[in-house]
This record gives sequence, structure tokens and C-alpha cells, in this order.
Amino acid sequence: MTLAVTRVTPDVAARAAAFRGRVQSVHRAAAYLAIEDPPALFVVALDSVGGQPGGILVSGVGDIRDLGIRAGMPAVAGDSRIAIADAGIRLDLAGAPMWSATLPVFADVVSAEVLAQTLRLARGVARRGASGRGFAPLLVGRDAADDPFVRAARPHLAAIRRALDTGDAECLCEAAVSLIGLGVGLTPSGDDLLVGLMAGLFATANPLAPIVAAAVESAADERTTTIGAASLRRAADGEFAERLHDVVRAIGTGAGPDLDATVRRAAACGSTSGIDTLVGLFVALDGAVTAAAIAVAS
Amino acid sequence: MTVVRGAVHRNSYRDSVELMGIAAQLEQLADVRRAGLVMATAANLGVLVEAGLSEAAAGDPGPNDLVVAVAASDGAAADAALTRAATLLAAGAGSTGATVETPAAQTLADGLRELPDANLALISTPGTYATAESLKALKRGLNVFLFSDNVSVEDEVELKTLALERGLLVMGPDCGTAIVAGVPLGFANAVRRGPIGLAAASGTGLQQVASLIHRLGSGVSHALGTGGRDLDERVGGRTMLAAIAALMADPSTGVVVLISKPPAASVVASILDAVRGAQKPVVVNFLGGDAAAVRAVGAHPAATFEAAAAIAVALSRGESVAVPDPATDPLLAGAGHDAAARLAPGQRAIRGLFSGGSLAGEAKLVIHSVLGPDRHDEILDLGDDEYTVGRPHPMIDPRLRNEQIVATAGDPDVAVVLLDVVLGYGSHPDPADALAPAIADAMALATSSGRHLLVVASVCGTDDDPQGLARQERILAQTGVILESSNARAAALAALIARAAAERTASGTIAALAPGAGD
Repeated sequence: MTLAVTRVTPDVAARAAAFRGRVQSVHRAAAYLAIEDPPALFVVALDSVGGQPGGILVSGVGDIRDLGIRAGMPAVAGDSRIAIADAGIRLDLAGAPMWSATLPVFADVVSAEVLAQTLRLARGVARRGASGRGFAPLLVGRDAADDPFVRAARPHLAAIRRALDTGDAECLCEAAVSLIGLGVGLTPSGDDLLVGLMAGLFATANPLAPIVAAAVESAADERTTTIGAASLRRAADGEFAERLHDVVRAIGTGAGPDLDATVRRAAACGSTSGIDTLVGLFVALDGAVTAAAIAVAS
Repeated sequence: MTVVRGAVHRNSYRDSVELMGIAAQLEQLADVRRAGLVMATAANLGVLVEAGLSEAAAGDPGPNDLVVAVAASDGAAADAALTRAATLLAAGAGSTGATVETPAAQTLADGLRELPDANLALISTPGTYATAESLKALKRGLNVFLFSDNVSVEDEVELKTLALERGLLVMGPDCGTAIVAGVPLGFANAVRRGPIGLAAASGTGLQQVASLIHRLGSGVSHALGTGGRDLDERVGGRTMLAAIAALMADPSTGVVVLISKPPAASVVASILDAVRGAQKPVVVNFLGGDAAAVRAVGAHPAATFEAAAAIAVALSRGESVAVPDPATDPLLAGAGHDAAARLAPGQRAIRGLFSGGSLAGEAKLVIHSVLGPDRHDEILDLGDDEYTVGRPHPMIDPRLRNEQIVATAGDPDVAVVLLDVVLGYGSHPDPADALAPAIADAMALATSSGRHLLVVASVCGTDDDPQGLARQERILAQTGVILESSNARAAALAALIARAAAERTASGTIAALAPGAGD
């Protein structure tokens, strides 16, 4: 069966001329392909998930697990076609629309005051939609003494806040690296938080962004899962999921009518990934508000 | 004594929903105190050490290895939990589970060999295959109940056009419920058979009307779902029109009820044309629809699902039609005032947390009719795709809604949490019992902050449903939930409480200002 490809990222399109790899894992909404020489991780995802770094979006499928794709199956590309022959699945990338995962920097669209206000609204929407799972308690300020992962993350997050306020790159990197691989899931909550953090730092052109990105990227392989490390490497390169693009754009342009829906959609991603990412994003944007306030005061 | 045991599953990639679900199941086992499934990253191994579970991660696991850690009161319980975890992980990987002695039919042809007189196929496959399977069924002369979603609108039109040519019905795609000749399909309630036929482009709307008809002592001949997109302009109401024709021709049907979320205007016109001058009474419940246009074709408009059921039952009995309007019910207004008196100042908002999309839509309309359009109460359909990516539907799995209920308790503006509880085949086996702890937690949380959180709900179902209406209502009432007999009444009560709360705040403000006015 040939799946209808609705969008693809430029790096995947370029590599689809020829590659060899294997199916890494298969989930309801996505299957990960580990590509060899040079190594990369691509993701085949349902169109409803939205654009993903290294992503190939497909339509007409309700559940990827029903396609017969299994972990370990070879995935081979040639001439813009990817074949998972053991499952009888083909993906034809020729002519598929491109979507770039690279996150644009905020233009000088909003003042720090408007950003602070919009951020408050966004945090409120996320808080109302937050479950108690993952790092959500860090967003809602709920006492989560019972959750050892939240307890472990809390001091590192506090250190990140302080480092962003003071511009202390060393403390920022140390705290960020400590969060890598912390928590439950394929991309542990700490990884998702760092993805959101880097999105916020890149979007606001924070000078600390490339420093923390380099630190995270170099520690990722050793400290987290293959999928978590790939996600962190993409984020360190400035590439983020479309849902995060939408939230950043909605916050960056002031509290427009899309704010609620985009924040809710981003928060609803996966079991905990969405809300964990927003925790990191909001911390980075808090930092931008504080920096702007200091700049005005001085 | 606590015994810690662990197992390492190498290169195991599971998402957090699955891992947390398995951990929760392990913690339900006897004598298991704590269970966790985490990837063996350095950070997570550090947490296991802190938690006293370091023994679980023996064998030098790496970041791509999954550690199952169990703390239990004895070694046997811990080992049993690890075995259970391995089974659950294997099942999640696609194992078919226990073998069955008689293999089920694998194809439509197999099924027809077993049941040569079958006249309906229920199709629930991934959308990619659903069209082809439906075409096969139609070509074999079978009506189709198409549960699958992700079927393109072009395919839907093709299927429904073919069905029309062959005198068959395609219910769906994305059709969640139907009752055909007393046989429930998908999510459906146990209702007695009777003279009222339903055609609905609204799953929980159909369930609510059918349940209320049963509770009013009458019954349903057939309840035909059309799929939510049928009344879209592109599909043109093909199945709704075919269902009307079928119910008009059916000798067991005396009254026909049409139910839908707001349809396309052109489709409304063709449907109303189809019932103009009909020989059987017709009740039309298109949420937010134009009552005058319905009356103009000789049909009976119903603004709510409750009204549709009441009108249909009255018509079937030849009785005069009394249309219930909970928004003007003085008893309900009184109850709203009494309940509002318990709220703290500032508590004025309604937060609807619904498992049924049509019930959420109806609640919004009722609330607007009482409070006007300027309010911004959040009425969420938690079954919407926005909330169900990677999660089961809230009619099956209450966890997402439970989390939202507890989170809502932290919002000082919220006066009323409005809920639906949907019973019937396919739904959670004991939804009230699953909701009650979250409701109790939310109420306690609000009380600890000096507020009083009101929870208003209705249960959509019957006493013949597997979950039992009376049992479900009893559990909710014992938890402190204010129960109403229909979704429309529950929404109206929530709105009347919010109105009374706003009036109290306004009069309180005036009273507070009055002494200062003369200063």
C-alpha cells in the first residue's frame, strides 16, 4: 500500500534520494525510522499530529500500528520513495509539500508588557488543561511531593530561572544537562521541557540559546533515549514541532483569537510531552520578559 | 518489610501513556506498594536510587532500556507483578493474547458463510481500508454500519450514492451509535422497543433521546445513525434522507424524530422538503435550528433532546404536546438560587467537561438561552480530537476528565462543574464510580481554599443498561453531585446558578457601596 504523504521536511526530502535504515518503534500516531550513515531519526506521523522535525506526515491512516509495520523492519529509500517492504508500505515523497521545522525568531512585534500579559493568558489556558502527569505540577505550582521525578526536576528548573535572570551560562548549562533523560516515556519529561526551553530562547534570540543548545546536544546521546536525544539535537539546531511554532507565534504576536486553541492543542500532544514542553517554553519566555524589564529599568 | 525487584527490557520503546497505564495496573495488584516503568537514563536511575529502588535496575541498563521497578510486601508479590508487567508489555507490542478455539471470520465472505441471512455489516477498520470493505459489503447487498473514521468525504459520497442505487443504508463513516430492530450497535443504550424511529447525525444526541423515550415509558423502533458529516453540504444528507424514507415505510414506526448538530442550510431545506406533508408525525431537533421553518412543513420543532423525546412520546400516544423548557422552570430557578447561596464571592463561571460532543453542544445552547451570548463559560467536548490524540475516548477512559475536574477546582472563578455521564454498551463499565473520587477531591480542594464547588450532572442511560441508571445516579448523589434528569435540565440549572451568583455579587456590591455613597 502506498500512503498519501501530505508534508515532508526538507532534510527528509533530501535524504530520500537514497538511504537505508530500520523501524525503531511504532506507536498509534507515529513510527520512528532510524537512518544509517550518517545517522538520523525520521518520524512518519499522522497528519493530525502536525509538522515534526524530520517528519513525514501521512493521511488516510487512523492508527499506524494497524499498518503492519514492526520495530526492526528495514526501511529503504531511493528516488524519493521510502519502502518498508516487510509491511508492504511505500511512501512517495515526490511532489509532497515541504514544511520547515526551523522556528522563526520573534520580530519586534510585541512589547515586554504585552508579552508578559499574553504569557499569563497562555499559562492560564495550559494550567486549566493540565493533567497531573509528567511535569505538569511544575506548571500549576501544585504540591507534587509524591512524584519523585517532579521532585528531582524542581531545583534544576529553579536554577534555570535564576540563570536566565542573571545571564549565568554555566549554571544554565549545568541545570539543563541535569534534566536530560529525567522522567517517564520515550522522550522523558526533562527532554520535552528542554525542547520548549530552547524554543523560547531561540524565538526571543536570547544570547544564551546557542550556549545551552551546544551543552544539551553534546550530552544528549549519553544521557537519554535515542528518540529523546534526536529530539534534543533537532531543538539544538532550532527545529521544533509545528504545534510549538503555533504557540510561539500566537504568544509572540499578542493575545489573538488563536491563543487558546493553539495552547490547548500543544498541551494535548501525547500523554505528557505537550505540557512538559510548555513548561520549558514558558520559563524561557519569562526570562525574556525579565530581561526586557531590566533593560527598560537601566 | 518491603521487597524491591526489577526487570530490564532491552531496547524497549514505549510511550508514556502505555508505561503509566501498566504502572497503574501493577499498583492495583495485591501487596504491591509501588511500581514504576522508566527508561534507564542516568537521571532516572538517580531517581530510582533516591526512591530506594536501585536494586530494580541491576545489569547496567542503558538509556534505551526499560526498567520495571516494583516494591512489594514480599518477594512473591513482587515477582507476580514483574510477570504481569511482562505480559502487559507483550500485549501492547501487538500480541493477540489468548488463543481462541474457534477462529473468528476473517473476511466478509467468511462472515456471510456463517450467517447467510445477514443484512448488515459493522465495519471498524482503519480508515484506509474502510471504504474498500464498505464497497464489498454494499455489493453483497448488506447495509453498512461504518464505525471507522478517516474516510474521505469523496469516498463517503461514493459509498452513499451506491447504497442509494441499491436501496441500502450506509450509517457513517464515524458513526458511533445505532439501534437496528432492537440490536444495539457501537455505543448504544438498552431501550425497549416501541413506536418511535430516530435518524440522527449526532451520537450522544441519539443516545440521549432514545434513553429519555425509554424513561418516559415508550420505546424505539429503530435508531439510525448517519455519521456526523452526513448533513454537510458535500454529502447532502444522503443517509438522513434514506433513513427518513426507511422509517416512513416501516410499519413498526409511528413517529419519526430527526436529530442533528447544526446542519448546512441547503441540506436542512432538502430534509424539510422530504418530511413536508408526511403521513407520520415528524419531530425535528436540529440544535440551534429555525423552528418556524420546521413548523412550515408540518413538523414539530424541538430545541433540546429532552423536548424531542417528550414531543415524540406525546405524539405516539395521541396526547397533547407539552414542550418542556427547563430555562423557565420555577423549581429549577429556585434550586439555582439555593445552590448559589453556598458559593463564595467571585465564583460565577460554569466549566462544562463533557464526554459527548452533542451533549456539550446542547449545553452551550441552553446556557446561552439563559445567560445570553456575552458569557465566556468553557464548555469542553473532551471527546474531540483535540483531547483524544494518543488517548482513549472519555466515554471509555475517565482519566483525562478526572484530571480536568481536579484542575478546575483550583480556578477561583468556577462556580459549577457541569458533567454528562453516558451509559450503555461500549461505555465505561462503571463511570460514576470512576468519576466520584475526582469529584470528591475537587470539592475538598475548593473547600480548603474557602470556596464551595458545585457539580451538576445528568446521566444518559436507562436502568436496563449494563451499568444501571439508578446505581450510577446513587453514586453521584452520594458524592454530592446535583443530578438532573436530562442534559438540558442540568445545563439550565448550571446557568440558573451562575445567574443567581452574578445577581448576588451585584447586590453585594451595591450593599457594600451604599454606606460609602453618603460619605
